[in-house]
Amino acid sequence: MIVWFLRRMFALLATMLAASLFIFFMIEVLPGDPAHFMMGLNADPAGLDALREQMGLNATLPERYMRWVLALLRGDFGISYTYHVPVRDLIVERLAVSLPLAVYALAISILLAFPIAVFTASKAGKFADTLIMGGTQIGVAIPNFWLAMLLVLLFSTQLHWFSAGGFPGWQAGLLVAFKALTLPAIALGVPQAAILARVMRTSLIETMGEDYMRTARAKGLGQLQVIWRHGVRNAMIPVLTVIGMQLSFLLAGSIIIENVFFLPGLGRLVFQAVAQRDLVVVEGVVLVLVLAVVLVTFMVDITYHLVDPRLRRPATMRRTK
Amino acid sequence: MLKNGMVIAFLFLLLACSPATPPSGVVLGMQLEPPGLDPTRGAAGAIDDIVYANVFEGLTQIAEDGSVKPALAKSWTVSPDGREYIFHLQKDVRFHDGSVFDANDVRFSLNRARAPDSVNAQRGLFAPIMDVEILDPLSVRVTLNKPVGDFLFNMGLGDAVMVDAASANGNVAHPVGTGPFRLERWQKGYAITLRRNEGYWGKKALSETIKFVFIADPAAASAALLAGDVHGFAGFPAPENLPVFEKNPRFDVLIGASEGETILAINNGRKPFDDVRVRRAIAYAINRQELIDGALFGRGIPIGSHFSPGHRAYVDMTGIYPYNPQKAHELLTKAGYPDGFSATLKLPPPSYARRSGEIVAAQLNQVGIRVKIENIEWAGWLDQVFANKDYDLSIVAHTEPMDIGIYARDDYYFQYHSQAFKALMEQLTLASDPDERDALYRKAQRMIANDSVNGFLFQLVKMGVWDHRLKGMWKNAPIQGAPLRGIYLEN
Repeated sequence: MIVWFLRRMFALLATMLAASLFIFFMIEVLPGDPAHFMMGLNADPAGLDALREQMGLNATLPERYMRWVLALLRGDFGISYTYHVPVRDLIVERLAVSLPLAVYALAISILLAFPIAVFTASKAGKFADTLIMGGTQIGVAIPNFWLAMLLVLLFSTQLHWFSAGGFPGWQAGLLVAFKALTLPAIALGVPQAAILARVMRTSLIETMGEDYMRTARAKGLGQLQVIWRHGVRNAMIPVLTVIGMQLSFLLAGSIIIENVFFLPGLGRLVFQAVAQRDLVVVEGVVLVLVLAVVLVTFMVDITYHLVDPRLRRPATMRRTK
Repeated sequence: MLKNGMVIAFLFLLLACSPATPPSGVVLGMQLEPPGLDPTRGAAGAIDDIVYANVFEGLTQIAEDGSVKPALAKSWTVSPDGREYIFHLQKDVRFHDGSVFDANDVRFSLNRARAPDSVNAQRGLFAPIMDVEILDPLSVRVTLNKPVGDFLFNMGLGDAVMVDAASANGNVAHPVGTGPFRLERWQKGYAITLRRNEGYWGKKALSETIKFVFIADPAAASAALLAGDVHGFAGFPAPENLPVFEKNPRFDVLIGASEGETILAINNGRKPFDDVRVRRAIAYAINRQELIDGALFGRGIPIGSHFSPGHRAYVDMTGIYPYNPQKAHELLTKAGYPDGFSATLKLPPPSYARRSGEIVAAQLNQVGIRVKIENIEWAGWLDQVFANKDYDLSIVAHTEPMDIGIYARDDYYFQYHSQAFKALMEQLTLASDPDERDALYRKAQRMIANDSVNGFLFQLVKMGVWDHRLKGMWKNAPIQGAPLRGIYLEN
């Protein structure tokens, strides 16, 4: 277990190093001079040069990469070209929106998907199953931004129950902040729930053919009880994989939803930064996102071990079983 | 499962019914978030939209009709030769951090803007300043190396606001000015809140707070207005939704003139565009009304030269090359292109450019100019088109006020080199009599229209949509940014 853990840690570090190299050089070769962008159409050439010097854009690429990585190791992400504040602060500020939003959306996804999956699996092949699975097919097909617009039309501009967007910040109160994230989380979570429900249903139906399920039924448990107590846990491996992927997607991929609801999340930060050639910010955010994805995958691996005791035994023993 | 669903629905309703926090003070929507809040550093228009005349003030201020009004300078005298300005400053003015504003700050601000290492985007405006001399704590003499006709106008631009030496470098994130509002909070990526400056030297602002919320997506902007999250947009980004607001009695819609001349930029330095006949053919091939209807939903003013129709010196030049594809074809034949030629059209991201690009391309195709459209992003546009002049045609709005002088620049991206025009601009710089200046401006408009330097398409309009209860918003936009001291929400 420890060897396995160390090996995973090493892979994680190697991934991060490769990602940092890739990100830095990919972004720095983009055409477009950040200084020019800041100064506009009437810019004075001498002023431009002064600004470029100030921003450290006149050094060579490898020099700048080394400077960037060494600073990163000290936890210094650099200073944003456009905002003139530390990139780390920007990322932390934005994570305070993106992370809760992702978790909220994932919670909605799971809360909807689990009961649907259990119910449809227990009624597999019956009319209710066909009907609900048809519904999830629609859920998978609906683009989340379109769902977002429908939600805004109904709950904001018609009913005035929710704001059409924006995020007042956590200091405005927990309830207020959660309320601001509710429509975006639904828009993000519902299509994910449809995907998750379908994966879980399939996995459950597979498990249902196992011997231990028959034993459980023979004990006299009802169909739903059998699935809840014995089926769900055994069907978890593919479900966990999908949940892990969904969390990564929700963290990094909510940019369109953030635009529709004008939320100050990571996605919009990176989108704006790319357009304004705020390279330091782009590099920092992308690296943080890579780290998040790698960590989530890592955590999913660990949960496999927790959920499935068979994986905890060393590989050699498993083979001799 | 049913229980589960009911719990979720219940929680949702609970959230929905929780007291909505009504916005206190005025909330304005803006499409773009400014990169920083220092108007003397960087050219982004969004900076001025927030801080100009609200957080920072200059010696003079530009009024809604484009005229120059006193601000931190309560009066001034100009020497007969037009080279010496004596500014008399307002007394008892304090910066937001409590330090006193006086002649020292004027000297510091002007010297900072014209210094060799200055990062002011309009440093050229300060170049004629030879000396800034303190006469007493409340008067300053500014000496120029040549008379500059619109010096007082220039001093009223956001780039020329007064800053304090102690706080100047921090203004990007923590602006410290003398204006009627001070920065309260910047929630990056979401909103900026200004609070009334209770120690303001002049008439205090009517609204206690003004919050700017950044909404990039046009559909989201409409939704935010309809939901009541924002009270107004000074520049509304969705012309296609205007009819909805015009019909709704809850809202006022005001269409005003802006300074945004939208042009089909032509690379005059490249073949075949170096031939004036080709450029005129392009002018004849363009149907402006079709463009305005198609790209701006009918909200635009046709122009025939590079000048704002809102200005008193404006001459309507749209008639010299009216839409006439037959004539365009004849001119192309005379220039040696009876079968036309191929060209690329590079388009920056704003919707006015992308939409009119499609239409212009179709119109040019009709006279035999085979246009290939290339969509690029802003940074790419600045790099390829603006800096490296690697383009045939492009569409962009020039939003700087009174910027016809760019046609006299040597290395500008139009690549238009006319000695006659340069001489004319030289004359204009020296002229200070308003009538004489107007006459020169008219001559300049005719000259570039005649040379058909660019395709002149339309003037962007300023589309303001705001809540009926919101009073005091400006209709026109003579420069970027407008004072918000007088706006308030009626009960």
